[in-house]
Amino acid sequence: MLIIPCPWCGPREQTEFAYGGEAHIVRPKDPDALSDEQWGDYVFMRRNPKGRLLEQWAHAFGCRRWFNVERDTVSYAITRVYKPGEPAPEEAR
Amino acid sequence: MSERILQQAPLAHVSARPGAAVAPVTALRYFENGLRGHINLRGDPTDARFAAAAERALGAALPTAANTTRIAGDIIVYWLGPDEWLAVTPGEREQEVVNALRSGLDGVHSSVTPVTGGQTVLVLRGTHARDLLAKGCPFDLHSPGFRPGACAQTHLAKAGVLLRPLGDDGMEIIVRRSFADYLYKWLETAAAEYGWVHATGEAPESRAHLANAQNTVT
Amino acid sequence: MSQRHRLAQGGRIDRTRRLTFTFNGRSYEGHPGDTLASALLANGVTLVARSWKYHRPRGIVACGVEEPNAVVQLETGARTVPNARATEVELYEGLVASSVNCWPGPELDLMAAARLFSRLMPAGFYYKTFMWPKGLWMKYEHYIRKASGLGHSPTEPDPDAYDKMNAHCDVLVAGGGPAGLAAALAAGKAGARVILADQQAEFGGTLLSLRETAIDGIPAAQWAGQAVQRLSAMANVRLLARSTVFGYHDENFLTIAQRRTDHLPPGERSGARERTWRVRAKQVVLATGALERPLVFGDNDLPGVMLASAVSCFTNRHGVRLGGRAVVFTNNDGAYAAALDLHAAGVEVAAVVDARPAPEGALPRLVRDAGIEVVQGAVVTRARGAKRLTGAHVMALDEGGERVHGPVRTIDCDLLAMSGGWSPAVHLHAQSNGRPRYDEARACFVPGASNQAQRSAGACNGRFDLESCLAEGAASGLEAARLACAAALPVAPRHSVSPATREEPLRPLWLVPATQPPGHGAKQFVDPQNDVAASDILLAAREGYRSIEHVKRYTALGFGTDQGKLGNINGMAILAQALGQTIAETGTTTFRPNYTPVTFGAIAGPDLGELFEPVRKTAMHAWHEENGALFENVGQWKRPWYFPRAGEDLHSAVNRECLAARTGVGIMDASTLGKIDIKGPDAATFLNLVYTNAWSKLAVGRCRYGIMLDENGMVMDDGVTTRLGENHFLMTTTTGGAARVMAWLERWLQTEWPHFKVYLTSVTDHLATAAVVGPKSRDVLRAACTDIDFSPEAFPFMSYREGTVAGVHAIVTRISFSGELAYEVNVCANLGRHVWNALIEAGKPFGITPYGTEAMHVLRAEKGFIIVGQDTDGSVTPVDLGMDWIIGKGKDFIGRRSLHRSDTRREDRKQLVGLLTEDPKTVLPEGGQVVKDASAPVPVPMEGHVTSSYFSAFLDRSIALALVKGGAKRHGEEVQVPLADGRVLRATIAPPVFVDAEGARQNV
Repeated sequence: MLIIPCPWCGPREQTEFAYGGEAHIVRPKDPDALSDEQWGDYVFMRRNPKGRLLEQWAHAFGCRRWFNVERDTVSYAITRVYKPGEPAPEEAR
Repeated sequence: MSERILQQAPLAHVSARPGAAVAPVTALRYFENGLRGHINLRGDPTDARFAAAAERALGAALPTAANTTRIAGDIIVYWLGPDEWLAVTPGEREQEVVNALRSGLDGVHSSVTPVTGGQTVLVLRGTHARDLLAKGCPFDLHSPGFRPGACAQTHLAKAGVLLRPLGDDGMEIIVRRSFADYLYKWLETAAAEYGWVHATGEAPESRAHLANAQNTVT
Repeated sequence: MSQRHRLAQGGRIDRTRRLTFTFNGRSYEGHPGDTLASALLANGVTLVARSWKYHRPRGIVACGVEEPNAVVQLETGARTVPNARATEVELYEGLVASSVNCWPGPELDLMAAARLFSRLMPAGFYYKTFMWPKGLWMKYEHYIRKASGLGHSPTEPDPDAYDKMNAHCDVLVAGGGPAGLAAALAAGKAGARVILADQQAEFGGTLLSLRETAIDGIPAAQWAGQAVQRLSAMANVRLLARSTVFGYHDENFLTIAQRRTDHLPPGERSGARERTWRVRAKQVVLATGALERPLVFGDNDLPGVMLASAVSCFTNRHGVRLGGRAVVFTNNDGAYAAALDLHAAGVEVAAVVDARPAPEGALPRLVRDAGIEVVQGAVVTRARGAKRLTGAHVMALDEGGERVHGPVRTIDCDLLAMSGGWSPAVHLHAQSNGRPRYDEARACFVPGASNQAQRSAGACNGRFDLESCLAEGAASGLEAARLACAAALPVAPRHSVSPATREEPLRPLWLVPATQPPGHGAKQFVDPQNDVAASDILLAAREGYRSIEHVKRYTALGFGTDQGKLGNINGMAILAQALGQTIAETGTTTFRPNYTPVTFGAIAGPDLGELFEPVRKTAMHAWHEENGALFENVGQWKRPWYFPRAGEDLHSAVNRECLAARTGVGIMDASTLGKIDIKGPDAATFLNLVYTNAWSKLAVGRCRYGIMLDENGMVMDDGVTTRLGENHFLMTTTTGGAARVMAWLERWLQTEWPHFKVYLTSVTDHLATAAVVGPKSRDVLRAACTDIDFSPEAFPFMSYREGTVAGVHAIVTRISFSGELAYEVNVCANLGRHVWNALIEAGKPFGITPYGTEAMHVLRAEKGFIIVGQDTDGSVTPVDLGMDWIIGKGKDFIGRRSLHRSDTRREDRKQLVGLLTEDPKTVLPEGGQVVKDASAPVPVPMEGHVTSSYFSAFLDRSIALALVKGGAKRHGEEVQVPLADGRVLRATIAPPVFVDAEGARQNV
């Protein structure tokens, strides 16, 4: 079980959090301009990398804030947390 | 026409059971601080108008450090999130504080929402209060930093709770109304080994904050 | 029966008190301080079990968790424990135990006939023999499982309670032997928050079995006692005895099973039987010790063959005289201590047989000085005896260690103490994602690099002499405290040990050569619990198995309740030899939690029965109980299902409740619906995005029904939202979807549209809601409320008013989930019961009838109103529901683009329809499959399924909703619903609205 450092509340047990999947999936500004395949990519397709992943978590039993986590899917090591709107660590993208 | 109005705290059915008026200090004792006013406040603390209006209405500046509380007279303000607070007031002051907040915040993007009926305050007293809670709470209740002035939102068993330490042997628990009965049963079960006393009151210094769990006014 | 094998003195048992216990129906006596194993041995009971596959006689081999044979059924009835290890069971007055896997008992085991066929049961015999012919496997399996297997689990409910405890510490020390005690002392003195856990009742580990060794000038066991005293005096140290660290997970999360009452007679037990500690440690010191390895020689499983360390433990700690004449067989110095211990206890030691050509260490010298013969460069090739050891065959071992030669010397003995060296208990290290590595010099796996904040100290780190254990323990404890507390600390204390315990290297010996090749002579057991012999592993290698993980599964090596703690290393080494590779290349099987078996109770803890899941209750719950409601679970809520009157069943009660709402007035507790206060200048814009329909133009004071989609275009929630002010809305959600919707909305606001000025606050629990439903509801409201004008013109359908109901402030909405004139009264939940009482009182003249969820379902189904999650299943769009009207044009919303994908546009998608049965009294089963022709060849093409189905008292016929392929254009078509019992029900597809399609009843 992970310890997740909430950007507001500090390190807390994983049981306080809800998982939100891959981060930085931006909703298309004009969905109508997209082909079915492009829209399907947005809705369904995720990177699922072996290694560093940028993902969303919510401190569901805490401050209820959503935030981003840089986590290694092999070692589970969390290397960074940052708030929504803050830029993604470039090297991991 | 005079009408009897029955107010019921979520654990009124438990509080109605006979309890020990003066509980032995060594035992783990519990009571419900029901029928307080609970006001949820949301706004941007960096907006000077919001911060000033809130301070005026509550009597103290909002706690902006995460997981801290501020006490302003008979009002306790809890940090819930970077733009969210809970103010707990004496029951009879709820409407007045809501009105003060709303009028002070007129024209400021904010939200003042009474949640009085939606949650309740439980108080645990006793040397094993934290041990009891540790049975169902993953938060480090014994950490040196978790002392009066702090608060923490976490979960206790399978219910979300807001905790506020009341010194070494006391803990305040705020829980949603619909979970209160479940949480009480859980506490009672977990406390069996420590000697569980259902108390009807607490030490004199905090009696000012105490309201009866069930109240009939005319 | 007297304890005829009890030594007159010595050991950590209390000879002044006697405990009576029963084993296999016979009564024996032991003393406090005994384990069941030591007490049995003190009574001369050496044959305690029959083996799993061949039903060979088996005795006690070890003295701890690694014991493979002495697995017993403890107690009877509801408290029976299957597969308890006698070596771990503390003796108590009245204990009852029996052997497992033999009938009627181990001395006369009728199932032992299996031995005659042992040649027919090689490795993989399950797969080879019994899986074919396929049809017979089920029959074979029954008999094989009866003849094999171990204890039986209780069939009655567990009478004991269990709990859990979360704990946080700076330093967790796993294991309270010499290294663990030294570590805890050092870390505790440095001021760190320390937890020290040990699986035994008494801290000290091997120190409790040492006879002559002294630490810091005092006897070892006494030193351990003093260390415990000092630790107990430290407020920052928590000592957990009878506590096994059984799991090591991510981020230094460790789980400990603490046995709190098992050592007491059942009648004296109180409180939680076991407590599972869930520990987050900043630093971990593993001091889990080492497990002695057996030697693999012919018939090495005979009762009387024991590990040398167990011999020392039973002799010194428990005061047991294990035999009359002993042979010690070893490849290292350590076992010589057992020879000396036996000698001191008055047991004749016939010889020490040492595989090494010239053992000259300190201990061998002491043994020779004691006049005991040391047969060097020799091995025991075979144990002799039937149900008990009677002698040992000894032969010379060649230099390469691959052959025995020369004459066979038979030494008579009834006890054989064996030692093949030590295996560090690297289990927790491996569980923590460490990678044990093979140390050639010490011939064992030792911890590799740590991947968590963790270090190993003492025997589990390959330090087998006491002085190093203590030194490494102290240093590790101090270092852990320094790292956890980020503080400079004093130097580690030093502990002196006398006499010195320096040892000569061992001679690795994995498979003792015999005169016949493996598989032809006596069986050489590697894993006695699973009856795996060396020949099985060699056969697996010959048959092409290369991976140790495959060999494990083919031979069953390392399965069972001991998980190969005793013999796995020998098996890996034998496989390595057979494959011509190193042990390092062969590697180990995976070490997984749990280290030792953990009860289901300890895993479940207190989360059982009414605490299994939160039971959420509304403010009116007590009224419902007082008025005889039966309850239904809706999510975590308990909702009144129906309110039966005397003599009524579900159907008659629901019929009455429905008719009341359609013709008079009913009242329902609607408090469980999710309610979200939405505030801010962008609130309407936000609603436009999260609902399919448009909200900007909704007038203040009006209500509107909305459907929420996920981005895939599928319905995820619905409900009525009221505009309380220009920038202020009150949204309702489904009961089960409340939390999900709140999180969903917050997520969009926080991550996608942070520029929106919108605040959300859940008021689900704050507002209690009473729905007053039916033609006479207006009359009831008028009676209960004096300051709202309820005339249709002043208070039209789909609008709200604030006013005073029963003397308290209320939000009254005129909305309807039944199609009738209806109002919902929302008040602060502290006043919920008060207002409910008042509405009941006001409704009495009108015959107000409380109704539950079942009637609510019927009423809404009559109107074709969907229930999200019942009529939808995450694959249904609003178009599928025939609700095109709710899809806003000219604006974007979540899920909108998905409604135009090729799949969602398909006209043959499953669409919501009504079904009217041919026989109006027959109610279709929900979930029933809809087909065109049930007699069509299998597989019958599926057309859809029934989602909701009820008897409508108002229509006096059954009604159903269904999702049917292309159903919107199939109204009037006849379909069939085949039942499991062979009947086929006929129905006609109809529009999904059965009552008042034009909506006149709610608009009065």
